[in-house]
Amino acid sequence: MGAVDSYQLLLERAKRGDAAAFERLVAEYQPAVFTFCRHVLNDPDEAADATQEAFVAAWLKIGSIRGDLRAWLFKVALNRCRDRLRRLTAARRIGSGDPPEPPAPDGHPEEALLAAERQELVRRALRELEPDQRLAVVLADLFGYAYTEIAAITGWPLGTVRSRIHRGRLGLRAALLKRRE
Amino acid sequence: MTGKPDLHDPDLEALLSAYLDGELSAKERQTVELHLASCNRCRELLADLERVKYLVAALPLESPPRPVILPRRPVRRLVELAALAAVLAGLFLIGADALLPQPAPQPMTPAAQLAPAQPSGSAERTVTRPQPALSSGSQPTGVRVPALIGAGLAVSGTAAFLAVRFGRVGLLLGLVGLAGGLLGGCAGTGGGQSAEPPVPPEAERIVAAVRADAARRLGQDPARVRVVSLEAVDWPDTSLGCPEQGKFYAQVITPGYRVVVRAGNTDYEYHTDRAGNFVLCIRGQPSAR
Repeated sequence: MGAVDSYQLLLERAKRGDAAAFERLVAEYQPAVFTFCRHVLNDPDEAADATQEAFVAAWLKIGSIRGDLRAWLFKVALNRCRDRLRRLTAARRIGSGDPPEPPAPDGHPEEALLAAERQELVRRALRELEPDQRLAVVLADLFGYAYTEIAAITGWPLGTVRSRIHRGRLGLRAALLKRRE
Repeated sequence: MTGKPDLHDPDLEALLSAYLDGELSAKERQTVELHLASCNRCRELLADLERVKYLVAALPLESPPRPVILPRRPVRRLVELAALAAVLAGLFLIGADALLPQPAPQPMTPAAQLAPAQPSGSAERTVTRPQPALSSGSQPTGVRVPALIGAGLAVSGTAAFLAVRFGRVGLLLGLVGLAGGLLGGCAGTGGGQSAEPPVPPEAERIVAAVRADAARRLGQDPARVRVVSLEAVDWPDTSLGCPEQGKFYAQVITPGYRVVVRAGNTDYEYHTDRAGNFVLCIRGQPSAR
């Protein structure tokens, strides 16, 4: 609650033109937006560009931001990602090459290795999903959005959100079971 | 476990994710729970879906390979530049107005001059004041227009700059400054004119009549018509220095006054005698009443 209040306060200050407050918001939300874009685009460079564009758009339109900043950022980032997906699809670059290994989390080396392996398995399984299903699962499970919020971010009807999340999870389950065999 | 047959229902299976997420209505939830009690396949699937949800939720957030770089907001910058330009232009105007030579202030007629004119006086005395046109909206004498505009530009530019830089607080400060500047400007430029020249007792009646006439013509309250100057004048004839074309006047020296009154930003010049007659003189011609 306190954190939410402080983010709200930072947003209000940023709306009044306080660049330092907005930079703190960028630092706070940058990983979430980048991770989101990366799941949507399957390409870290493209995701970094989309993240940059989303934050620039937020800075330029900060006065018009209402409600949850992260959801607003995701919505803008998703539009940027969709633009890029269209261009990338045309250039047949989607999904080419595997991303670099993420850094191993702190803790016991063996556990860390297992966790990193498990995470990589999940990431690969996610990448195998259809883009819309992956987007639905990422928004619901990684970022914890309710179905109505996902509908607002993606512009999909509620029934579509529900079915895409379910099909996405079924697809993930199948992919993970296949990798286990 | 319940002894019921294990009947899988694909329609209900499609609701399992929404059930897991707490996104079903009470009725749907009840239906799913009833089904789960009798369907092993759906129970296993629900457990798997929960594990999948957990695995995705456990994925760490990643940092972008390069940090986000924010540009300065162009509109803000533009407004800031415009505000600064207004401040500089305002200061320039104030400076130029202070440095440039100003026209000598119009001397107020000393009280001694308001004494009855000597019969031997051959002509009117000091008449140096240019006649303003009734409809031209001429500027009040003594108001330093460039300085006033400069002060307005400087103060409002500062207000705009503060508003853009510091938001509402800046706007508030700017507005306070603007109000102060305007009040100060009004006091500075108008203060000298708020005091009317002294009116000798013998001229009070004619000045009151002039003031009332100007107010009537302009549809204003007489209190808003101010006397700017009052001069004792010996008019060369009974036209009071403002002859109507084609009309003849008695060639006798007529003592009277030149009274300049101001309503709004415009000055009006009246010529009077001492008996209560007066004429509003516009470009040397009497104006119809």
